Amino acid sequence: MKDEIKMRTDDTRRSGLTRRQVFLAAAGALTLAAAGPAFAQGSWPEKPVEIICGFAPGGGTDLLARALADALSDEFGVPFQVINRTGGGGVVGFEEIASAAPDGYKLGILTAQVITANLRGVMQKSYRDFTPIAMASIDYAGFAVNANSDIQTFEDLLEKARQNPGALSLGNGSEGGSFHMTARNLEEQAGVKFKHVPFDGGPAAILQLLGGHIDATVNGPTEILPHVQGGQLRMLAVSGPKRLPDLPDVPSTAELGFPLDVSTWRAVGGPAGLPEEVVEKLEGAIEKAVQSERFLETMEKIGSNPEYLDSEGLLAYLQRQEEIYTKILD
Amino acid sequence: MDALVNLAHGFERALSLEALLFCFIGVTVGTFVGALPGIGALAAISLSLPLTYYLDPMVALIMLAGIFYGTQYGSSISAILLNLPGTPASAITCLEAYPMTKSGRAGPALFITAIASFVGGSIGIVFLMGFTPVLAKFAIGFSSADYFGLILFCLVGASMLGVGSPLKGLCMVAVGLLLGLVGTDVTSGTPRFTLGIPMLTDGIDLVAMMMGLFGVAEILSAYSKGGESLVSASAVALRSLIPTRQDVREAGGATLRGSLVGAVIGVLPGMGATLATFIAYGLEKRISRNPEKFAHGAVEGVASPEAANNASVQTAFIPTLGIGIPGDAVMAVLIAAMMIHGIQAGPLFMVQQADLFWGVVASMWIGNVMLLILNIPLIGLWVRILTIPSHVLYPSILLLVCIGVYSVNNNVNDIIIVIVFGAVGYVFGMFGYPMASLVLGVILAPLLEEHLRRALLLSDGNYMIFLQRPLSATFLALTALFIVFSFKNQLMALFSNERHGDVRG
Repeated sequence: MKDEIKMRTDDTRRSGLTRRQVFLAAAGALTLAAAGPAFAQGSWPEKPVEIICGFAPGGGTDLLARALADALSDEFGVPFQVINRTGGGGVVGFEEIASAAPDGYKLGILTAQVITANLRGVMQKSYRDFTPIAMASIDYAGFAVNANSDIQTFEDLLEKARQNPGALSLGNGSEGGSFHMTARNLEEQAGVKFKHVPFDGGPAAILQLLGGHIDATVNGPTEILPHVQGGQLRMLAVSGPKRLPDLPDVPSTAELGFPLDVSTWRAVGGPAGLPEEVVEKLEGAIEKAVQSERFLETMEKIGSNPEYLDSEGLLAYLQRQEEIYTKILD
Repeated sequence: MDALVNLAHGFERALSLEALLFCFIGVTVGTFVGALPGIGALAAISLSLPLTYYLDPMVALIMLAGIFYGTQYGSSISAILLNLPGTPASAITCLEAYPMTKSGRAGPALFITAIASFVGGSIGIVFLMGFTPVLAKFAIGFSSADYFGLILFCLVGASMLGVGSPLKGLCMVAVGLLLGLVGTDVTSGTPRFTLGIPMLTDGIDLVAMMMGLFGVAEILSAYSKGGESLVSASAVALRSLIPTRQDVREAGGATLRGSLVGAVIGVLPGMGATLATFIAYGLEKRISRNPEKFAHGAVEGVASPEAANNASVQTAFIPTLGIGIPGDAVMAVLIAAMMIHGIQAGPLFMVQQADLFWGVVASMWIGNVMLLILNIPLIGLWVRILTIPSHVLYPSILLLVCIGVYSVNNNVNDIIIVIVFGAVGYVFGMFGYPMASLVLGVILAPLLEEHLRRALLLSDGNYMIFLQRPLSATFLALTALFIVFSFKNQLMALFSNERHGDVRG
């Protein structure tokens, strides 16, 4: 748009129009541009873009949003601003993204809660009320026990659960959260039954595991790791398809025969009906951003795994996640 | 000896110009943000977090920690002067300090608070320096059953805090417990009593609620009594700013007791500061030789909870730094800040990052000294706020409260909460129902429920778990004793009546 105005300025100078007329023409063009998304095509973005983050500043999702926003600002030459709209486990933020005008100036970070909040009846809108743009990260969970436990391996854990159905206590974050869903996913695949002990967030479960008040936990590998290094906890496996680079000795559940398909993922999305051309531009930019040094550095700090999927891939991922969650939550 | 060498190292780093500067910025920002009604430590730290991205990790931590404990100082100021507790932990300060203000003794109240906070903070830091590994183990040892016992003990204790009958206190605790259940149930993940409002799925905003219950209610009641200003200008002479010798004598022991209570309770993740102040206050009231002084501006009732508050704020760093488990939302932001700088909080932190740990700890003490130096000269200024004519002061406070509460979440619902609870607080206050008991109920309800249900889940529904665990059994026994002691006159009357009846029969 800037270029466009500049061009007109050059043109008008030649045709001898007054500055006032030029100003009016430019203002008119801007007004028209703001009037409808159809007109904005070809020129997006021409003003700051808001990235709604439904989670508090300083959290993993917020840090990812900020790293992405920085990269996108550089890429497009307009500021991408992260705005935190917390509440209702992300729902307040999601609602705002879904109900924004589909002009590409209000986007946001989508997480697994988009699907779970809808299935649990906390949020009316489902993932279909969003335009999926691109996946930015996918993280899996770790299974851990206290270092004093007689459970040495992941097989031991399953064996013990099999022998005493519903007796092995598994602390796994909030009910319906990704750690809990991971555990349910494992129950389904391995035919075992745990005693699920819900906690208000993963760290609280680790605290009780350190004190030996619960038998095991499904938790963030990054949160477990320092206690493994300190010798208080033992990590048995990580969910997901492959081992983590930080933990080369810890097997993945997939290689042990349980390809768990629940994860903590973070993606960029907008309201439904976003112009195709905006989505395409963002896809390219996000693909570049998730490989940028600044982004990778941030991800390493928060212990998150960068993972890019384009709009189509993300849509397929969302569909699959909804299927899995529907099955688990039933 | 090792610790002393480490500490010397720590002071060396904390006394660098940059560290001193950001420590000062932190505690100053904390004091003023804390003094502003409606903005708590969480908002202050979250907003400053991005500023620290470009600082040296230690300097960043020093500044954020400074904001945190600075807010605790600051929030007592508005609690004392205007009955506006900036944090839940200063709700209890209102009970004694505000009556002192109303009788023209705001100066001594602020003075005692500053000193008690300093002593409490210092003792908390000594605990942090000397006993982090031991206390971290102590915190880990608490199972859900033990937490339940402790919380129950505190709730019953809190019901006796009121001026009037313990029964009114008990009612307020119950109302608080019910209000505290609004939000998402941790065990089932189901939103309860939220009226379909997404904001309420995280519960009623505590700061907004307190602003209404204490501050707005106080202003309403002042207007209903004619709305004259709180203190006459003549009462603000310099002499009245300094505590009397008797004040000092009474405050001394209370400060030490409060500090010890705070330092120990603060270690428990998630409930430290607030619980510590309630326990410290209850303790003072129990052991006082003239309990009738309480609720009319008892100096011990100001010194002890303030010392407890600041001591617990320091020892709250023990689970955060020593285990890597954040006790509350503020500590979670601090851990996030450490993560951003590539520092892993956890059991190895003290060993691998000894430099950083001791630097931050040393800076805390320096920060506490700064707060003392900053706050004592400001007392005169703060007290002068009270001489502002009420027709200017009260509307200004209301406006500040609304802006403050709104700015935290950018949500109009929070202002509605202030207004609703302002009305509720006014009505309850008129009939002498203690607001502090209600606040404690609201804070502890989710924790009480969570730990009760988790303990029973783990014991397969066996209630004996609460008696089998030594810690929980001890707390339950104390609770029973407390109830018997509080109602002993009524019980004795009942008993003698029955005996009397027997004889006659």
